[in-house]
Amino acid sequence: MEHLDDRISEIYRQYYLDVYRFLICFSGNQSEAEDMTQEVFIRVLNNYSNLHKVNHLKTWIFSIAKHVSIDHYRKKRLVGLFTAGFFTQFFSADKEPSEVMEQYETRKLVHAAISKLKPHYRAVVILRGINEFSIKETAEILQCNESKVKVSYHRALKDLKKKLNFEMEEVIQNAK
Amino acid sequence: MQNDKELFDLIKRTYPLTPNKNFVQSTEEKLRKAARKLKRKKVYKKISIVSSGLLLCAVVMMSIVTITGNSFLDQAEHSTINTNSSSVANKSQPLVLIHHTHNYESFKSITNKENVYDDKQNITLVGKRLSEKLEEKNIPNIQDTSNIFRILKKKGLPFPSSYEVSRGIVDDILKKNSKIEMIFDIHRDSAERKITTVKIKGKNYAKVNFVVSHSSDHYKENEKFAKKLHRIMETNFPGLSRGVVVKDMGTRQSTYNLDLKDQSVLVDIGGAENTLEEEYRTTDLLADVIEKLIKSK
Repeated sequence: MEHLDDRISEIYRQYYLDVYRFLICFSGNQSEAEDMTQEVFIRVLNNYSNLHKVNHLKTWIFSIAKHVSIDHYRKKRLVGLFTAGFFTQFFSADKEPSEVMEQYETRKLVHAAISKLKPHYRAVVILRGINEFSIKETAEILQCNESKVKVSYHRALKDLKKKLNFEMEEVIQNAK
Repeated sequence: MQNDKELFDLIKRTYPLTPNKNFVQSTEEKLRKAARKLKRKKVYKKISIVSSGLLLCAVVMMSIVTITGNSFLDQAEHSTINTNSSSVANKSQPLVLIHHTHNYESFKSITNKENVYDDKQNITLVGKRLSEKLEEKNIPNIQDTSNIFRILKKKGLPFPSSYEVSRGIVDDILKKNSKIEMIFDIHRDSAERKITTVKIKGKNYAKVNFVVSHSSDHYKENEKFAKKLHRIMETNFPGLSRGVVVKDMGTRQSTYNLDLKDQSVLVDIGGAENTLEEEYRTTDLLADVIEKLIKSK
C-alpha cells in the first residue's frame, strides 16, 4: 500500500542529499541551497501525477533541480552572486587562525571561479564531478545530447582551471 | 591544479556538503503535510465527477455485455473475473472478493526501472494467483481487475483518488453478490527488500502486512479479522506476517473502504523489490490461511 505522504518522504529521504549537494555547489550559499532543495521536492510532489511517465526518477528530480537553480540564478544575477556572509558561515573555531585564513583563501578562490562559470557549464561540472552522473544521465537531466555534454564538460573544466590559476596568480601577485 | 580529482576534492571542501539537521527534518514534515493537503483538496473537488463517471461507465458496460456477451469483459477497463464460473458458480455465490485499489503497483523485476508502476503487469497478477488457489480449495471468489489507474487518468483525477474509484466498484459488486463475506484489497508495499522478504527453509518469501484503518465504522471487526489472519499465519508459517498495522492519522483519514464490510482487510504482499515467484509463494500460503479461517467457523 502506498500513500502520497509516505511516498514523497521516501523519495525525499533517498535524494535530498544529492540534490542539496548539486545546489550548494551551484549557488554557494547554504541557506539558499536548502530553500532550493525544498522547492525541488515541492515541485516533485505537485507533479506527482506525471510520475508514471518518468523512466528514471533520479534524472527527473535533477532536471527539476536544474530548473530551480537556473530560475534562481536569473533572479540572483540582478543582485550579484556574492554574499558577504558566505565564507564566514562555516568557520570552525577549533582551528589555528593561519589555517583558517588559508582555508578561507582557497575557498574564496574556488567559489569565485565556479560562480564565474556560465550556468550550463557550472551544471555540467557539478553533475559530472560532484554528483558523479554518467554522460548519459547528465544529458538526460540537461536535455541535450551526449556529445554536447562531453564538449561542455571539457571546456568547462579547462575554463575552471584557467580561472582558478588566474585567481591564484592574482593572489600571489598581490602578496608580493 | 594537478588533476581533475584534486579539483573536485577542492570543490567539495569549499562547500558544506550536508544541510542542517533541522532543515532536513522540517522539510520532510512540510512535504508530508503538503501531500495530505493535496489529497484532501482533490478528493472533495473530484468526487462528484468520479461517481457520475462510474455510473455512466457501468451503464455502458451493462449494455455492451447484454448485447455482445461476456467476451468483452477481459478487455474492458471495468472487468470482474469470476474465476469459478464453470465448477461452482452455479451452485454457490462468491464468498471472497479480491480487488486492487492500486492496480498499477508493480515490481522492479518486471519494470526494470526505478519507477515501479505498470499498466498491465502488476499486483493484479498476484490477486489472480490468490483467486486461482482459493478456487482449487473450492472457495468461491471474485477478483476484480478494474484498471483503476486508467480510470483515474481518463477522469483527470490525482493518484490519491484511487480509493474513491475502487469504492464505487466494490460497492457495486457487493450489491450484486450478497453472499460475499470477506474482502481483500491486495497491494504491495514500497519498503525495501530486506523488510519485505523472509527466508523459510532455504526459500525466499514475500512478507505480508495486514492493514486496517481506525476511521472505518467497522474498525473493531476489521481489526479482529486481521488479527485472526495474522495469528493463523504466524502459527503455520512463522515469520511470514509482519503483523497488523492500524492506520490512525486523525479524523480526516481514509477508511480505505474497509467500512463496507466487517471482514475486510488491506493486505500488502511483499514490496516492489520482491520477485513474482516470491509473491506467488506467499500468496499460496495466504490461500491456506484463508481456507483455515473459513473452516474454523
